[in-house]
Amino acid sequence: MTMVGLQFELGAPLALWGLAAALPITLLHLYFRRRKRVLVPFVPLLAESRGPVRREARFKRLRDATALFARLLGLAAAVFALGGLRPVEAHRVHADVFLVIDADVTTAAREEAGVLRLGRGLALAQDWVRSIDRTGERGERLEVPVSVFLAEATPRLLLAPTKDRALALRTLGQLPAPAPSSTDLGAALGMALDAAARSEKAEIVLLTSRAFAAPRELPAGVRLTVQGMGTTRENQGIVGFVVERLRDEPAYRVRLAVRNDAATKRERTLRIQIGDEVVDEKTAQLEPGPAIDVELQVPAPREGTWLTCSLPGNDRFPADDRVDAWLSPLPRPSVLVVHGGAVRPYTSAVLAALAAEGSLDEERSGFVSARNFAKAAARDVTIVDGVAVPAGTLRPGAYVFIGPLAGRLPFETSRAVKSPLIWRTEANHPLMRDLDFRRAFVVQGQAVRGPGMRSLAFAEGLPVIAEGERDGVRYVVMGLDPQGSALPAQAAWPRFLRNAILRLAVAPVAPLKPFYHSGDVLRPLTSLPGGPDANVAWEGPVADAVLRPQWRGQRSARIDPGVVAWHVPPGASGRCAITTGEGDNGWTGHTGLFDGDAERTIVPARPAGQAPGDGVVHTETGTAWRRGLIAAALLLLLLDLALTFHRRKPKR
Amino acid sequence: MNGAAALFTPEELKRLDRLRIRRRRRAVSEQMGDRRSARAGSGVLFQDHRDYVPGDDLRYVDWNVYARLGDMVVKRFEAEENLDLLLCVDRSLSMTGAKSLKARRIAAALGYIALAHLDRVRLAWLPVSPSLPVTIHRGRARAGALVEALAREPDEGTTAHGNDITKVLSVVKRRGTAVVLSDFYDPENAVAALAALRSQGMEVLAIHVLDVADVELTEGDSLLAVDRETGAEVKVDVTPAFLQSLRQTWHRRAESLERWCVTREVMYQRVEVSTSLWDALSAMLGTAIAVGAR
Repeated sequence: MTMVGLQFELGAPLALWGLAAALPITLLHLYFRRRKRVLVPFVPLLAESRGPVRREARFKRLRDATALFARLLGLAAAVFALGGLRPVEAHRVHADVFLVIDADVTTAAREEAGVLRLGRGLALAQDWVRSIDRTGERGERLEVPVSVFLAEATPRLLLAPTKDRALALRTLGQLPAPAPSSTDLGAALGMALDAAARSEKAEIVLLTSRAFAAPRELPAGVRLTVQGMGTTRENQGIVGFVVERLRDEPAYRVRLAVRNDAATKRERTLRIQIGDEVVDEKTAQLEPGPAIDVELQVPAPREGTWLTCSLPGNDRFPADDRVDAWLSPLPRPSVLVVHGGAVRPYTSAVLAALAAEGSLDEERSGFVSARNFAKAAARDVTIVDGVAVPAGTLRPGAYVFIGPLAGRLPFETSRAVKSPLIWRTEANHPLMRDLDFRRAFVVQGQAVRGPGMRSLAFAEGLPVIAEGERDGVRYVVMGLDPQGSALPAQAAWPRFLRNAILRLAVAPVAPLKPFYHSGDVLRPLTSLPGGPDANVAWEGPVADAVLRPQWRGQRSARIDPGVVAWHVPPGASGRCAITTGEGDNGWTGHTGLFDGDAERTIVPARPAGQAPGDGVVHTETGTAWRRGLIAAALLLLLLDLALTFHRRKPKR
Repeated sequence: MNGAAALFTPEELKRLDRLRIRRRRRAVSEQMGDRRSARAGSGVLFQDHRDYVPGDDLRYVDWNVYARLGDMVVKRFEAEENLDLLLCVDRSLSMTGAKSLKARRIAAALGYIALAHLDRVRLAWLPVSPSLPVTIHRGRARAGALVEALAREPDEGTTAHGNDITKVLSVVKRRGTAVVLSDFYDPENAVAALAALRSQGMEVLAIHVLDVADVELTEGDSLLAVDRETGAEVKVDVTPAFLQSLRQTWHRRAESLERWCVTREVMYQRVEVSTSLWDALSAMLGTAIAVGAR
């Protein structure tokens, strides 16, 4: 709107509806100030009395009219203050213009009509350039120079001061995509301030939707205008991600934090994929505000595979709608069972169950008779199942000895227990976890003893279950024979055998974690097979690829547990493949990258800036105007009160 | 006397019965009444003796004096005359409300007392009724009718006391006492009327009925004041100064009328509507028709 030759704009035009209150105010005033018709006994008496005080009556009417006028003006001032009236100053800028454009990741949000927030900011910047006074008939030249700074992780000068209008517009039209992470707005503004300090008169235009504390003091002759770039907040995203391996099960626990930035409740579906298979879909009502936690459990894959958690559907900021993690296969030991000619059915069944569960490497496991034991290849764990192994065949390694015990052993057997009722156990020991041998009656048993042995269960006061190590032989011994035992012993037996195998096994560990946070050092847990020299390639999940190339990249790096190897690029999110060696010696590992910045939000901290018209610019300096209008409204209402309740004392 | 209940309660009537009107000057009346006259006559109250002259009624010869002194003297008695009371009651629209009621009650009280003592009461409305300018009431029996007439007659018409009194005097030839009850808002007509009564040889009592509500306006109002009688309009903004000016004008008008009455030997009595009937009657003790105990 234009008033007194100045253009004004409103931050909240809806507040103008408040002006409708002027109508009832005026009507009420006219109603209460109307001339009331009264019958009097003798009009000449009034006429005679009115003469001397006619002037005061005129003053009263003037006072009433002034009070109404002040009231209406006060209302208008209050409405305009609420509406955020601010001047759209005529852009007679005879000052150098410095445009600072924030390109942080949130500018990848799509505003109305699908325009990127950054695109809107660029359009605003171009409008600024167009609005600057120019000389020449064709307007190729700007009257004042314009510079453009881009706020990224490190600010950069995009356009050196130029009066070439076409160049400035072209440069602003060719800006790259939004940065993949947060940007250093303060540093960019600092650059602009440094540059502006060299000008006699400078105008810095900062385009950002984020909260930003402008410097309290500016150099002389420098004016700062801050404008928003967008308004959308329609976004739900995954802002927290944890993947951890369960201790006792071949499974992973996945925890997600999902946040709704929109102003009202939204329903979104959380989809969990392992590889290409959708294993779970949860529909959640997301309240606006703090993130909610979602926890789920996924089975460990036999082979490594990708876990993908996503929020399918469209919102205005897809960059936080998907996370990836690489699920490595859990370590599975190989087992060799040494038997006396035939595997005892009970042991065979237990091992088959463990293999089916995934706790054993079934392919590399096997059975061998005691006499062929010496020829068998070494396994992670050897189970001596109630037989005596030939002397000298025990090689260093991990063994589980199951009664009846015989032959040359790394420990000594004691007398047979006649009443093998277990009456005491070391329940907190990992081997005894989840076992309950109380009142377990075993058919036959032998007590054991030996140096360095730790006893875990006792019968008749003698140890019958123990673990120890001797001459490189790490062992767990169970002096009880489960066959024919009472049900409690039989029920506990598979668990005990599983505990013993997992405790003794030394399985290879996956060198990479399921995922790494962006900005972290990618440090492997173990040395990479194939050597530390690796090629790292990563790819972001954002479908429309509006973000910078950091979402998609490749480089060589030395990946080693002992050195600071490679920083995950800030803002990087998605899948990452690390390759070492070549040919048959080559190795490829996978991990996810996650930019889970909980502070990152597209919710704008300031209203959207408006495009300046031809020859004008819009400023965000409405605070002073608002205060002024509020003060004016208060003063006018006070004047109204004073005039309304004014009583002139009659002269005596 | 049932009609008297229209304006008075039984207690008020009893109290009125104990009152009588006394004239300050002796009444000059051609008819016998129960009131002492300045003239000696055939009353019952002995006044003095005079020498007998031929032709005197022998019934009035004081034989006791003759027997004791041998002089023929006749007794003289105070003549007993009746009061001729003319009640002129303003019933114009300006009187509407408390003023009208107050004026009618006072008039009714005076008329009731007078009729109770065999006085003659004439009632004239201001403005007059074209068909019957004056109604005459005499005798105690007419008291009810008089009071009822005073209560029943509606307020109407505009104030023109001068012309109205001229019409009244055209039918009232006798001298007597005239009581005019009005708010006297039209002073020129009012003094013309009072002067006309006075020139007729009547004793005149002007009872000025005032209602302070006439000048009580709400401060701050803007008014279109309409005259009840004429319909004339005037715009008024009620300011404190205006209110003060209005009250001053109101008092000045009343005082001006009172001064005129004093200089013209017209008795003047100011009665506020808030004043009780008895206070109003008591205040008349100092006027030509003092009301006192029987």
